[in-house]
Amino acid sequence: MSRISIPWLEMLFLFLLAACLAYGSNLLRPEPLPLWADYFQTKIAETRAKGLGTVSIDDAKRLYDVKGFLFIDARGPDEFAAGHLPGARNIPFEMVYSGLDSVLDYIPKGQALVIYCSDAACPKSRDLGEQLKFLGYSGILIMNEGYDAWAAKGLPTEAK
Amino acid sequence: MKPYIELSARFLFGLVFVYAGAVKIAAPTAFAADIFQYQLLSDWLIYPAALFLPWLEAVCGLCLWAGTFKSGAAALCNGLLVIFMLALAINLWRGNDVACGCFGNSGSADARAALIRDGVILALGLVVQYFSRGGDKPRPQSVAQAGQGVAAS
Repeated sequence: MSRISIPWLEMLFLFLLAACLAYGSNLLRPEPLPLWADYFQTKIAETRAKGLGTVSIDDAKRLYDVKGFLFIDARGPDEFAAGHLPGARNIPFEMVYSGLDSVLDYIPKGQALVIYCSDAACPKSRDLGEQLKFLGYSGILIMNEGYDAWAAKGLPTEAK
Repeated sequence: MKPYIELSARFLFGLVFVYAGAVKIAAPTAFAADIFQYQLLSDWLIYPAALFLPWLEAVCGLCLWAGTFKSGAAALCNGLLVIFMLALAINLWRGNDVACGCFGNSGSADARAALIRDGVILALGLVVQYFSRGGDKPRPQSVAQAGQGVAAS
């Protein structure tokens, strides 16, 4: 009877070699990635480092219900069309490079804004927020968890 | 099987992993973002995985090329492919059409196409693993069997 032989020792050696190389190469990076850090919290820290406020999904829902905040979706038009927060305005991050002024004409500088994109890994909301802050907007909050988490919680969405 | 076919399959399979590993080693932050969007790992494991997995792919791919530890490398590559396919399938089942991130940040989200592509690569990987363990070589007879053969003749 033939036996299935799994090369455990070889696999273990390759596993350890890769781990050593990963650790060593990370040390040589100009900006090493943290080996032990909460990814989501580091994204919030990045947002704050840009001088922007952050808001959790639950708090964003409260702000949404207050109706005083303008929600801005920084994703592309296709993603926006597939689903977004009801009443949100789509300002794709790419508009930073052209056409942003025409959109912002309708948004007063004092308007409180909540910007989101798909999830915490998506940098568009932070980058758009940074640009809007540069243009003079002050009340900017970033919903880092993004649309995906909002929708996953069963909160209101609409598609068009 | 002709040796050059086994060699070609191993080279091609290794190339996939060397390339996949290299692009992700160059941009670990982007790979971390890709891992995060799968929503399968704890947030604490995102960075370690983003650093480790590309090196594992690259090391295994290079071993397949060099023919060193090729059995272990093929097994690890196939294991990684199965894990990646499971991750894609779970997200498809959740209705989350994630961008694969298999070869760096391609930007396009088509998990189904990625799943099919990974299936094809896995088929190639299983062929490589079979032959890396000497699967095409005749098994040696035991001493007893050899003795019976001599007696019969």
